[in-house]
Formats: sequence, structure tokens, C-alpha cells
Amino acid sequence: MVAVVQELGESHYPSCMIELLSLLRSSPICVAEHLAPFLPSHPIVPTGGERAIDAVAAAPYGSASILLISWAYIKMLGGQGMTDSSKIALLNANYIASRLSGHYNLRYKNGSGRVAHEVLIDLAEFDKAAGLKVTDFAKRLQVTRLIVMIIYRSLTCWLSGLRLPSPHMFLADLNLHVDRTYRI
Amino acid sequence: MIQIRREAEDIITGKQPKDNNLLKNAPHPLSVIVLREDQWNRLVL
Repeated sequence: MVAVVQELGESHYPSCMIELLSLLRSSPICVAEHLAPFLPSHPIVPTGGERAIDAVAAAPYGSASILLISWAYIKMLGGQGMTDSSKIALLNANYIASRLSGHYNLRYKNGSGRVAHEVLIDLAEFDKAAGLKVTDFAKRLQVTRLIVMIIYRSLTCWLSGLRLPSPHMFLADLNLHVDRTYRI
Repeated sequence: MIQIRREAEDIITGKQPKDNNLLKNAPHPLSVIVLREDQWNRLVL
């Protein structure tokens, strides 16, 4: 992420900041000096730099309580459970990636064409061809699990959709998400 | 997702208009679906 931010022009810094901080709401974050003015403010507790973006979390200094969720998962799953659920998450994500390849441009695959625990769909082609935005796809899908993520890059300004399959999504569930939407 | 891709293709090829289509009009809540005929302003496929 840091590498991506450094490639960008200054006009994209606030957007990058939202992206970075929404991912890291629960924990401290370090940014390079040139990004410091854009660190987010808060409507009640003044924080952030001179050109601060709006709040990204209700808690101005982050909320350590979010870490309890991770802690509880780890305690409940145990060592073996953590390993198993991680493997299932990778399998699920790669299943989605292989089902969607040929239909969508997928980003950030490794040398073997595999993804990690999430699938990044590049939707920029649809904006160029027909003015369709990421939010239009998200609205059409009507599924809260679709996390829409916007990645700005200096020239192409990719608009990408991100799907995060959770370890408990089973094959039928995956197929439902991949194949069809809920028709009116 | 694959179904949406097909709908997007319809919009690109012009089968659905660019400003009145299944993606731009989404979501399609019940309050819209039950509109009277004279109030209906969405594309009918």
C-alpha cells in the first residue's frame, strides 16, 4: 500500500488515506511525512493534519476493542483451527477467482495465477465503455459482503471491486454469489 | 457476478440504455416494484 501511495500525485492522497485507514481502524498507523497533513480529523476530538480528511472511524484514536474480535476468533479456533480456516479462505478465494476469470479482469494474481484471501476485480473497463461505476455493480449485487474498494493509480485510475470470501462460505453459497444475483 | 457481467455487456452493446438500466437503477426495492403503471419509469426488458 505504501508503494502505491508513493506513486500517486498529491490530489489522490486524501483518497488513499481513507483506504489505508479504513483498513487499519483498530491499530496505529505510520505514514510518510508528505502524507501527514492528510491524516483524518474527527468532528468532536480534533485530530489529523492541516488538510485532514473526514473521520474514518467513530473512535478518533482507533478502537482497540476491535482487536477483541480477532482475539476471540484465535482463541476459539486454536492453532489447528487457524491453519484450517486460513486454508479454506485461500481455497474459497481461488475458487471465486477461477470462476470469475474469463468474465472479469482480476488483479494481483501471483506468478501461478493464484490469489490470496481476496479477489480484486478491475471494473475500470466498464466505466470507460459505458460509464458504469463500482457502486452500480455493488448496488446490483445487493450483497453486503461485497466490499467496494477504490484504488487510485496515477494514470489509469483503476476502479476495482474487492470480494473478501470468509472461511465459512460454502460451495453453494459461493456459487450463488458468483453465478447470479437476486432477480426482481 | 457473472449475471451482472452479462447485464453490463447489454449496456455496452446498447441493448440497455446507458442511463436507464439494471445496474444504474439498482437496487430494485419493493417500493419501486409495486409502483402503478403510470408511475413506472424504469426499463422493462
